[in-house]
Amino acid sequence: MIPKIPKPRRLLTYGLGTAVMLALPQVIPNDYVLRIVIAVIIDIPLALSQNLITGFTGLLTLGQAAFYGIGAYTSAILMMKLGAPWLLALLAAGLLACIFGILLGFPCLRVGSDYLTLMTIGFGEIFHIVVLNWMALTRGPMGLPGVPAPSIGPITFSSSESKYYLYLLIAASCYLFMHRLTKSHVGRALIAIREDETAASAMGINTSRYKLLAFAFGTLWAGVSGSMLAHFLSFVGPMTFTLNESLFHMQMAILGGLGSLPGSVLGAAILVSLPQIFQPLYEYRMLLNGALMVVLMGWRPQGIMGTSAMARAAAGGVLRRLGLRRGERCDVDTDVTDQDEAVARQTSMES
Amino acid sequence: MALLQAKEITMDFGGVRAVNHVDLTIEEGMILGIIGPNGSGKTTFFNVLTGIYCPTDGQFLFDGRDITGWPPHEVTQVGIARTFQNIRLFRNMSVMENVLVGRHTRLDANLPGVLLRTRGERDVEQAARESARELLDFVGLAEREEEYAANLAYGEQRRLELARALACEPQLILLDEPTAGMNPSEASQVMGLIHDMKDLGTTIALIEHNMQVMMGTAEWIVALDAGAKIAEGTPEEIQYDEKVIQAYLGEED
Repeated sequence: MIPKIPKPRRLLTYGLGTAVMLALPQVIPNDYVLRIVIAVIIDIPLALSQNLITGFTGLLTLGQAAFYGIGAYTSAILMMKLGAPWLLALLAAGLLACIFGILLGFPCLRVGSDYLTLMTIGFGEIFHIVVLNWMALTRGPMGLPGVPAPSIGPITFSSSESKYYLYLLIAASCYLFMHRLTKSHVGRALIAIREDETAASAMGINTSRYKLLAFAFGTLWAGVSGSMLAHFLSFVGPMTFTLNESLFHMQMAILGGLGSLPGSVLGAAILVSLPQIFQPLYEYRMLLNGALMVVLMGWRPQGIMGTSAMARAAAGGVLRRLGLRRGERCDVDTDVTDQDEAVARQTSMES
Repeated sequence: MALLQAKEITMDFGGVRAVNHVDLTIEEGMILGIIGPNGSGKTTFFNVLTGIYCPTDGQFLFDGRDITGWPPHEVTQVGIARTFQNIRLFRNMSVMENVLVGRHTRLDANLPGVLLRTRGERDVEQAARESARELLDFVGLAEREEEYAANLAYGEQRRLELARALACEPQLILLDEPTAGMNPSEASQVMGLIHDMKDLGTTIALIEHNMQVMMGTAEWIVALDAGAKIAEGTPEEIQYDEKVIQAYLGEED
């Protein structure tokens, strides 16, 4: 049976969570720690969108860093060069990332899953090379320093505390968005596609349209996240948006649990804060990071919060594709083609 | 009235002709049986009809409309649903969710409604759950709606597939060996369901190897061999048809 949290307890959990999040800056006097918490909040939409695309829909993409970057550069350039208000820059960042996501999605979602992965990696590399060389717009490797802080009308969010509340609101909106989407008929369609694409289409689901939808929303929120980063660091540079960053997004989603939204939040929290906690062991922190992933995949392949069979299935599929786990491949058309082969063999024998 | 007309349907895979100029008519409200030895093209015929493959040649007319080569989701939307020979449930979704996915095209829901969780959206969802519950009741799985599909027993999974297909509100339902691997009592339960479905006004096309089930349900039988239609008629006629007996048992020397 699928466990259901009773409503009063759920309300209590949410209420308590909200209270803690709201009180956090008052409790933490240290600006350094608060900035780490903000870094976690910025990564939450990234982990959630990776989860939407990979955990729920079953599409293994490794190009989210490019959309993160498109968002960051769009937002910074709009505000610095065109003097656009922050809110407009934020929306434009999400929208432009989404448009590129759809443009990339059209060809990508028509090919098999393994090719999709390669094409998204390729797109990430192209993006990286373009920002590195488009000196006039991005200043190439020097990046864009002095990105202004977010502001709405006369209010400027320059202190860490004000940025914390602003970004918390954005990340919470993203969470609510993903929650409602995945719990609806749209979410069911996405999960059905992950489970069995042929059967999903036989249920009347336009699979290419829904895959594109997952892609569009996933890239939209990655772009928003990019904008958040740009105005938080007040700097945008090409080295932030590499394949390593994409792998990091995937790691957050897998560690927390594919198919679990709270898991993605946890994944972001752990993977962003851990390197800071292990700062004294600077040279070894990637080693620790790697060791954590290896241990987790052996001990709990469904991720920390992925208690449901759903997360296990999502994780299993992804790990198999990454070649980390052996087992039956779950290609969509296996048994259809098997039948055709059987038919073909039979008929050729008979004739 | 003919609900579905297949005209000269041909399907080639490379040099192999899996379905060979098959003509077939399904009258509204009837139960049509399709029989044939393994590899005779029965499942391929279903796959071509439901748009998983585009036929090499020929035409499908459904309710007077030409649906040849339509993609699967459009074929379902127009009113044809199916089950699969090797059960293809959404294994890591609950029994209820599986049926709800079947209702997908019949929901009057939209994206803004979902994101704002409007009253209309909640009502649509509630109504969908209620009708899904009725279908689960119909196939005898009402008690298990919270269970994961993967955890159901084999016979239950087959019945869930039936409920999921019915959730599409089809005019025509294609059943690919619905009693395969079942024991006689499970098979007769499914036979009962098929008769109930007919009584509710659904037209049914049935592939089946279990001759007892076939003789007990089908009103008209089409026999295929090596992709071609070799005979059609009432169950009594088919039973004694020489070509059919030959196809199954081989020729006497």
